[in-house]
Amino acid sequence: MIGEFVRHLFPRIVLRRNLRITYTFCLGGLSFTTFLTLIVTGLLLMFYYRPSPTGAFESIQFLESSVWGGRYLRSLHRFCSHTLLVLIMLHTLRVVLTGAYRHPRHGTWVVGTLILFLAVGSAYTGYLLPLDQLSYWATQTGMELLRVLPLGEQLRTLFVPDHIGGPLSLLRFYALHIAVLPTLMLSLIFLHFFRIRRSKGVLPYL
Amino acid sequence: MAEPAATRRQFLKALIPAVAGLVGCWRYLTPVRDLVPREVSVPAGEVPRGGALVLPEHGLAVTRGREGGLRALNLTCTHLGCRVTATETGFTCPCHGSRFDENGAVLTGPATRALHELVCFEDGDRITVRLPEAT
Repeated sequence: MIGEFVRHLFPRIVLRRNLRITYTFCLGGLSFTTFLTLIVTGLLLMFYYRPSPTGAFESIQFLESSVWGGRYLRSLHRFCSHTLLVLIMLHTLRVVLTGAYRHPRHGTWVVGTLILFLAVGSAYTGYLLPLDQLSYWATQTGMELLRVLPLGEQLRTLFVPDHIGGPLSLLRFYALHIAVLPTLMLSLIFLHFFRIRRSKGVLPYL
Repeated sequence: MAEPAATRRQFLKALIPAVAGLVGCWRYLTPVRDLVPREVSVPAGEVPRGGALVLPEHGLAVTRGREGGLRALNLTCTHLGCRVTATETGFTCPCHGSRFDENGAVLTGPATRALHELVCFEDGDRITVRLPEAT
């Protein structure tokens, strides 16, 4: 049954010229694999992380010092988050250079760009969560930058109702990071795949 | 006989990573260090001379004699395990009325043994007490 399901994921028809590795370099598939790794490691990290100003950093230290594989898992999550951004950027570059954004695939391009923004948002909201000095100041500066945008002040209040690293702001970043953004991303990723398949792209896994 | 859905080899091939994954998850979810703290530290200034500081959440009291001798007592009654309460002169058990002096020695029964003393030491302006092993 599982095998048949997997077989269904593969398209019935692909264009021969799309199958060259140098056409896509598997960048989309690699991004998706990284995303899946992020979900798995993130789920495991949730078993230890405490989203409170007093508990956050302590829980990270505990995870790193006293949990079997804790440091590895956290490093993997962090590494994958960086890798995902790099891969998506390269994927975008590839799409631009091969002109894949043009009609009739412009819809796929728009969805992909939204996924790129969501990935940046996910990485950014995750940055605050360890609540060390780096997180604190990175979020501080980021939220100051938000102020220069139109409606920036309101946006900032939405993300940071109290102060950077306060209980509410931490909780909101946490909710965005583990629930809102990944769900949105996953839905858009499936829409992305659906559109690629409809235009006889290579899927999965290139 | 009908063909089996999977061969033994396929089954074992699936079983090995599944078991390895489960063992990994199990080890990850059982931390090596106890989550219960082993010692507790209080500011030395909070323990008055000839008085006591009671830490109800840890079930212990840090006392300082009139001569300045420091002592940490486990507030579990040595009779049947109730939590003794601090009084003006010492400790009294609410369950059966055992009374102890400020050093934990028995004044009246039914308890026959003094309150257990815990290891404690003063380091600068803080007093650290080793907590008893959880039973």
